[in-house]
Amino acid sequence: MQKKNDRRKFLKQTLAGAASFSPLIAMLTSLKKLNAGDRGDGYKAIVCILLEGGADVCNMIAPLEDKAYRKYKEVRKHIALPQESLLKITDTYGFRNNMTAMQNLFSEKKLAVIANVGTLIEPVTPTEVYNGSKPIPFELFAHNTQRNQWMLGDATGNSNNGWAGRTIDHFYASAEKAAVYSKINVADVSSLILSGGREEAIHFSDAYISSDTMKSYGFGPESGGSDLGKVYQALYETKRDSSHKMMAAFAKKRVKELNRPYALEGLFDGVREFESFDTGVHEVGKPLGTQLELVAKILSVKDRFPGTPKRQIFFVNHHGWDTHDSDNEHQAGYLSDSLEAFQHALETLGIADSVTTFTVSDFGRSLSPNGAGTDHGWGSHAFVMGGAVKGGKIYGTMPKVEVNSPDAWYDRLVPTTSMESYLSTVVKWFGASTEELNTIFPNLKSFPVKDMGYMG
Amino acid sequence: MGQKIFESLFVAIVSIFVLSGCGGGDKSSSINNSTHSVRHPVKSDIEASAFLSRATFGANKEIIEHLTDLGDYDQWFDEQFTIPVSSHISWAHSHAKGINGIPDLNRSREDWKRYSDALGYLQRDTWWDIAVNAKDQLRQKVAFALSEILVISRNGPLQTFPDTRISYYDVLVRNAFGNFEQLLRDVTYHPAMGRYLSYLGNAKADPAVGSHPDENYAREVMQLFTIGLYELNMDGTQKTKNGQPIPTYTQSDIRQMAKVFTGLSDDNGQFEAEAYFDTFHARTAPMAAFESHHDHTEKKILHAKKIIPAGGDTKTDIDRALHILFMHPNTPPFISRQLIQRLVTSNPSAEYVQRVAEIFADNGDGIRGDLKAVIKAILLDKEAFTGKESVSNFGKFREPLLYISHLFRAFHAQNGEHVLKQGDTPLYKYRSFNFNGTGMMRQEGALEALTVFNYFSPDDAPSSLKKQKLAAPELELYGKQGIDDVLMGIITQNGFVYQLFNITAKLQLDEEKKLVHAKKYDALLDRLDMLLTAGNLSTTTRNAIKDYMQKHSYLDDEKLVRHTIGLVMTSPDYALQQ
Repeated sequence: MQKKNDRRKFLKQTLAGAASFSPLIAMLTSLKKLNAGDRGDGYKAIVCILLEGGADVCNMIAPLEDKAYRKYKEVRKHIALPQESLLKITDTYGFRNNMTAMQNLFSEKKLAVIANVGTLIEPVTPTEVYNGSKPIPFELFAHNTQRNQWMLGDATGNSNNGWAGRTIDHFYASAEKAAVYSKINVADVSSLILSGGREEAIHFSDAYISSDTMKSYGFGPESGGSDLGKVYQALYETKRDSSHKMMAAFAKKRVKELNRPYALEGLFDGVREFESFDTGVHEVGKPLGTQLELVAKILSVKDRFPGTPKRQIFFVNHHGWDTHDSDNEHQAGYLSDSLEAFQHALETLGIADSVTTFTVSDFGRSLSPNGAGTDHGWGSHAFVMGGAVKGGKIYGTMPKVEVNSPDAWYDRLVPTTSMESYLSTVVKWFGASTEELNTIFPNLKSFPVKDMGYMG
Repeated sequence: MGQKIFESLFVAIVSIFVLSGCGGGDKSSSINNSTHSVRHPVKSDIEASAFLSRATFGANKEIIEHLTDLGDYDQWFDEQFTIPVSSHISWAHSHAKGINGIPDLNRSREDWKRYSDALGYLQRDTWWDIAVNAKDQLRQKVAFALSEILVISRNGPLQTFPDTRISYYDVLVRNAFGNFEQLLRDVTYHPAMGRYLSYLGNAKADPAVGSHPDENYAREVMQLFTIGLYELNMDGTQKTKNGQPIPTYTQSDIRQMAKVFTGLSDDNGQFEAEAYFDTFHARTAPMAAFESHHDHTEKKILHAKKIIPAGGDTKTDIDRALHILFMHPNTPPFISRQLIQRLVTSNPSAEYVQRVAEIFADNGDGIRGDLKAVIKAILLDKEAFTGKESVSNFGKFREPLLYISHLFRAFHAQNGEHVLKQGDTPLYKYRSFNFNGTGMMRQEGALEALTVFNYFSPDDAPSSLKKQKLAAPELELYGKQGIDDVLMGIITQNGFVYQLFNITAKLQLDEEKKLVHAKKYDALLDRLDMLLTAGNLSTTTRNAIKDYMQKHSYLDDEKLVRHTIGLVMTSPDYALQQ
């Protein structure tokens, strides 16, 4: 039902949240440049796409060779991808047949695959898992705990804020204006990955009607501060010092949000429009294409953010991967098309080398089917895309897709690459030093590989 | 009906005798004093209003007066326990009259599927009308709380089946005053849950095919619906071993538990996928067992310490498994703490959780899982009444839906005619508030969360609070300005909001207008503090609003009233329900 129109309206209004250009503010901010996260190498952004629910990666990448395929088919049974349908990416592996866009990106060396990555406390084999002789992350296979461990960048349970939040704190001096615009959430859920640190993330998802409502009524500071808006804001200002900690935290957050629109005035004038993003079919929640389009639009005006941040981290949430009773055909194809649209948008903007996009997921899924779908697993493959990526390669070790193989505990893959090794590689490219990486990923020390080499 | 009243009277009488004998100490504060002579007197209209903000979808003058007239809370509970149930599916059937030759839903229930897109709105309209107007407020409020624990959603496989969702909601409504074990069983057998968590049509392992049973429900029924991830003390705190929390189950237990939930499909005579959800009956009647698809082998669950013996049929196995979970020592504190959070406060003291969990474990009459007793224990606990003074950081943030329901209730919103269309074709018409706003904005709707994890988890909070081990789950729903802009738009009849949402609700503000007309600003603020903030309007907030009123006394009466209500309801004092 008029999905397209709703979407257009949504974007328009979201962006209008910062309407009416104020050249004065833009001038003031450009005069007052701080280091803005720069490390002498210009602008860089990373875009984290969460495949929420646990991606069935074995139905996205499958072996081509007869012997390996036979084993694959033996465990995947009726949900196995047909051998002849696979889109060849290397001599031995192929993508699912609706992932043509990602196949192209891979062959253009803009996309890399990271094999069998997951949450770990230290390197561990299936035998050691079975024996219980080495520690493994708590509550494997549970959505929330596993997703949280990915977002925290730590499976030991000793971190309580997101790794992207910690990363940003290393790049921006405190009280720096640009820092406010360094963590951007375009999803329709809050993001643990960006949480913590000196600044809360900006949420670009919930301004559905705010701007117009407030403007036409004169409520809130967007109106230029009507009397009603002034009283409203003042009430929150007085509660920032409340002895009730929940009240104080809430009031501080609200006041900060209320002040933001001033600073963002005019930001989205002249924003670039993109035609190639698709809203998908029957998506749960905010579609991936809509979110990536918003990221592209924000990137098109990145130099107009107050303080001109030189480092930005975006969070994107792709819902619908918890495929217990279905195959992930739709999700795989939609991800593939959306990634291509996004990469092309970045190329149009001339910033393809400065932006790296990568996926994470709660976990992989069971190798064997439960009927029509699969259950929660552990190790999973990930995808990294961008002009700075040394693409066209699979990094890490592709697992044998067999029950109780050397790579599996029953029919769940045991990761051979830790999320720390995977993520620290892209964060190193982002500009973090070795010392910083060890605080961003406190358990990185437990893994021999600190840089997988997939970034240029 | 007569029998129901008799039963609840009987329970009440039994409670008096059984419980009065074991009083003394803290434990006597909650349910034990159920006699009509001792007990829980209503001290003031402000206190009554605060109580009603927890127990209903919002206070209004009539219900506050009714409660203060009754004079004690127990009588109000007795009343609420006996009011006839407002059924959501009945409401939908009886209100949606077909037009243009489309038949009456009540007679032609198969139409649910044909017109499911349009009827998707009917679920929201049903919910709003009942939340705002139904007499069985406590039951409906508890059902709403349960809907945030035992989660299914419009988002996902149930999207085009509004009837199954409304029917599921009725399961929560029906069992809100029943027993938790029965609730768990009814939830488990409902086709909406079966489909949502993918065990409808779940077959036993097939060695020929190499498939295993679906583990989805096996996991979530433990993690989210009963025992949670870690062993708990009765007061809701985690048990530890060598400083580490103790997991309640292992992956091996999940595999075993998954075997239990095999063999169910919708009641259409066929197990296979092609037949799913074809009829109204299949979408709303309890799922049926198909023994040839059930795994009849032995199941060892909960660290392999509990055995479900081989040979049981589908329902025997499932009922046994649910009973084991129901009897698990975690279930009372796990469920009690969440119900306290939904109704009263985000960070209940351990003692509060323990008092309620003990009632959950035994209502005093040897009955476990008596939800009436649990609800009373939660709402009549001393911490609920005095927490504002006696414990730090008491209270909870209101949910966006509950802002609007309170507004509509407090000011007696009148609804209007609503014509449901599919494209341009009118299908059904009925009276409703036509308020889809919070759902449309993806902020909050009943049964509209994005996943089975609900809109928020019990321990969610902004990181600054999390560091201090404080939860504020509802803040997950507060984006930029939360509900405030929509709320202000509705109250002040903002053209944009009304047009966008096509709102028909009309607020009745006569009493308020009289006060403004007479320039009795203090009296109006007193009234609003009684109706809305239940005595929590702080002096600074009050003075700021009064100042605004004085400076804008030139506005017409209705406009000034609307501005004033808007400022009160968008104030932080209102956001935090205490």
